[in-house]
Amino acid sequence: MVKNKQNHKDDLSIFFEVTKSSTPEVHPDLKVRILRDANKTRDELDLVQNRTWLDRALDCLKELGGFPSAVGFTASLAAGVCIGFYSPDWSEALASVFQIDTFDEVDFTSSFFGMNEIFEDT
Amino acid sequence: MFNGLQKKETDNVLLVAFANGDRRAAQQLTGRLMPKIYAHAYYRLGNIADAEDVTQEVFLKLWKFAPKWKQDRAQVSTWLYRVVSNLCKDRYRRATLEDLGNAQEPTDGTQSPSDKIDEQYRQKALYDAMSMLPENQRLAVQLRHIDELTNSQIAEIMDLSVEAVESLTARGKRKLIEILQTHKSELGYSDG
Repeated sequence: MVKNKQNHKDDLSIFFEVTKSSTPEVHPDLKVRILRDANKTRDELDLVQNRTWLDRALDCLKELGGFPSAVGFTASLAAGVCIGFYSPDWSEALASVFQIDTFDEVDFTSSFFGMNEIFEDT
Repeated sequence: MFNGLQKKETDNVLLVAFANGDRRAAQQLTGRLMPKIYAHAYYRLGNIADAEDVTQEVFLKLWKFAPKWKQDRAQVSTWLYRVVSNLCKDRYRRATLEDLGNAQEPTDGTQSPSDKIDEQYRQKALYDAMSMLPENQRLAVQLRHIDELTNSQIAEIMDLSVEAVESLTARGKRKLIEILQTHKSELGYSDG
């Protein structure tokens, strides 16, 4: 039994040896492909490492949608600033359009549909 | 021991040199590590084309990872074995044996045709038998007995303790023997 097992072990080492010895030669083209990848990656790394703040800003802009999106964003920003500084009083214009004399003031401090009273009771 | 340490530093230093812009470092690293990684992929997949693709992919990942590499980290070869074994795992089910029979031309010209056939059967039988092993046993056996790595290297690659690797390898070998015995006729292998 022991002898039989020893034979099997020897068989196994023969299998391993055969497998190791029969590895096909590495095709020279594989090394060329790998080194081409290395050079390409190195080029990309060089590009990233040599970038200025302007390049990064332009990239950021490109990610946000490019020039059209920048124009839209700037216009809305400018409109916001103008409206903020010179806020127009459009109540009269609106009153003339909708044919009303006054706007009701909403009092947010008073009870909302009597809810306050309900909660006070409980 | 000293040689191993020196080699480890050299691989790591080369990778850092590549990350810092030295393109020649890539040539040296490729020359040194590519044959081992290719052999591992080939034994695992049994297919030249897949083995080449996987090897190229592994090295591409290495080049891209180079800027983040820390010298005191793992060995470059350990990292590569880990990546190649994961990639092979993904491709394993799709791998076929069709190239194995066609591409094997033993380099020893003194072999008779029957010896060649016997070698091819043995190789195919081992491949088939190994494919019947559980994934971790298969990887441990391959790394130990075909790639000839040490148990501590395998432990690092598989993220296990050395004892666990020893146990996996032993169980894997026992199971291989059983499979080869049980499926002798199916695998086209016979004693002698």
